[in-house]
Amino acid sequence: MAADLEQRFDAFVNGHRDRALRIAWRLLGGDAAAAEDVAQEAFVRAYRGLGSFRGEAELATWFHRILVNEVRRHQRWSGLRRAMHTGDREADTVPDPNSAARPDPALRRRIGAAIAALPRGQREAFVLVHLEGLTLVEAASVTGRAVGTMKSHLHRALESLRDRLADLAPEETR
Amino acid sequence: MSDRHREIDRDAELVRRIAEHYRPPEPAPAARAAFRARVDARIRRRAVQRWAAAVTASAAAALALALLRGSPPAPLAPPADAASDASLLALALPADSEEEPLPADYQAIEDLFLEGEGV
Repeated sequence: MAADLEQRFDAFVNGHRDRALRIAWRLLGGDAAAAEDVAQEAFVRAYRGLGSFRGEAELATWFHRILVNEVRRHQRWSGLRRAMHTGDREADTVPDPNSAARPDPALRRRIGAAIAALPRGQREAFVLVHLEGLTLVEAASVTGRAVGTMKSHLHRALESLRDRLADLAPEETR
Repeated sequence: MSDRHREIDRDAELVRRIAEHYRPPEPAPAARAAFRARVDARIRRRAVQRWAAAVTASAAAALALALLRGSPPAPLAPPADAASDASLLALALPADSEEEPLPADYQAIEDLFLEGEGV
């Protein structure tokens, strides 16, 4: 029974680790160390409840809810804002030297700052729906908000990012 | 193309570019293994902390119970070789002996009653 749970947890971590790290990283304005800490904590919390889940879709939504709550907790209690403005902690993560083209770090930081400047609800909606591909219903369930609220957050987030990152928009439409 | 369509296309392109540039570096295989090891270490640490907390709570509860009960109860009867009439009588008497003098003010009231009864 315990071995079965261990096996299941192993598969669960392998299946969700990269996405969990990416979601946390994106929600935390590109702070790799904080993202790793938050993702690990989310997996530890998930470990206890894993035995009661069967359906993979339900499990993913449940886990993403834990993850988003851990991000919120981290943002509430840590000096994240200070860290984001004073240092680049991306070196904490060892990148794969064989990975494909790497994005421009300066641009990545600029986008990170623009996303981090969004109010929490807008940031969560934008990252989960537009960047991570969750449906509105899934994102609403993960964040504990109404679908209508998520739509409104998405609209405002896009408006704000359009202003802050105007140079990223296609040339011909500006 | 209408303004609305242009706006939708522009937003879609903005989102695409943000998604393309705003992503963490791919972790190396060693980093993935290290991540899993750190999760396992946290789970083990949490289990030890829970166990320690449970032990501490049990010990604290046992100590509190002992303190509430006071010191271990004295034997009901003295050892046979020390038994005497006096000690048996002392054990039989209620804790608050009737012989204990009343406080001065209560004594004064009692005296008044006794005088009223013509004693």
